Amino acid sequence: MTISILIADDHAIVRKGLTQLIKDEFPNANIAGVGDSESLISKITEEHWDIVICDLSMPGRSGLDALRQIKQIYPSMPVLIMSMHGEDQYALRVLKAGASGYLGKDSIHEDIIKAIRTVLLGKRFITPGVAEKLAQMLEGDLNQMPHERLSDREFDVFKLLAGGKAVSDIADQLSLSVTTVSTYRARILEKMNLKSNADLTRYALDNNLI
Amino acid sequence: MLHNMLKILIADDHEFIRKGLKQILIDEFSPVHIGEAEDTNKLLELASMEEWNIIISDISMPGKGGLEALSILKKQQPHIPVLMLSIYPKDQYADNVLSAGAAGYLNKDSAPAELVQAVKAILNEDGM
Repeated sequence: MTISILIADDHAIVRKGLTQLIKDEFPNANIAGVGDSESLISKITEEHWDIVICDLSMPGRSGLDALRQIKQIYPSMPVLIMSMHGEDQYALRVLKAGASGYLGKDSIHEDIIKAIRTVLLGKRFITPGVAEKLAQMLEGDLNQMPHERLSDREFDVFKLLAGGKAVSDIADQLSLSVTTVSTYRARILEKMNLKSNADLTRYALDNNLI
Repeated sequence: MLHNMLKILIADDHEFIRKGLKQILIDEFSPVHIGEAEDTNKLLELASMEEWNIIISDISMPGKGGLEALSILKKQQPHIPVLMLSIYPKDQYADNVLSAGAAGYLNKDSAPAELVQAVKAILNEDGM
């Protein structure tokens, strides 16, 4: 069987490496790469792909935004999201948004082939770490952390604010108005019961979120 | 003939990054002998076992870390040029890395053409 895989990552080295890793296992696979979300969306509308493997952090619109858009256009297309972030931060968010699996880049060489095989069977690929998170969620979220109360977009804005970005820079980066970002900021501070950007930075550092 | 062939040692703890680097180098420099190290211990071991034309190493690696490994390499085999790679922007690390003896510093965001250009420039300086 020839499988078609589209890889979206802004690093050419990563695209080449993943292609090679997959080719070692699936020598006949048809693999293509794109470097940003816009090219990803246009490529999936041009051709059929069995699996999309997409980096979470790309310039312009994030991988999470691209995932949501893909799921709107092709709800059944399997999308694996990979990230440099730990499983704790994004795994549940991307699964909720419709991803077929979440791969941390630290273990991607071990997981990618297993993930592709699982997804080709029509299943989701869940690592033990993510399964544990899911189990905790089912237990009732009694100990939900303040940042876990944020919506996906609020979480994106929170991370940028905590990283020291100005509201106007965040507005540019996320293609939102300054007023909208300010509204997000107010909502984030309220939900997390914090008072300033410095509080957000301290919280993010204490919880290894940046 | 292996002893006449260009020899490049690459060190990165991520297998898929090594594979990506390897493919870029093979595409440009074939025939080329490429060694791979997944941590600094393996890097130092391989560096002492063979005569490499250039070493390409990540800064953040398990073991001693890329910078510490660089300074050991420069003491043990000062003639082997070392190109350091990093996910960090150039202005954060370049000065430290270059003053520790690296022949060059490249961000992992760089296009493959920049990597190839950097390797060629270093090899030319080295008389290859």
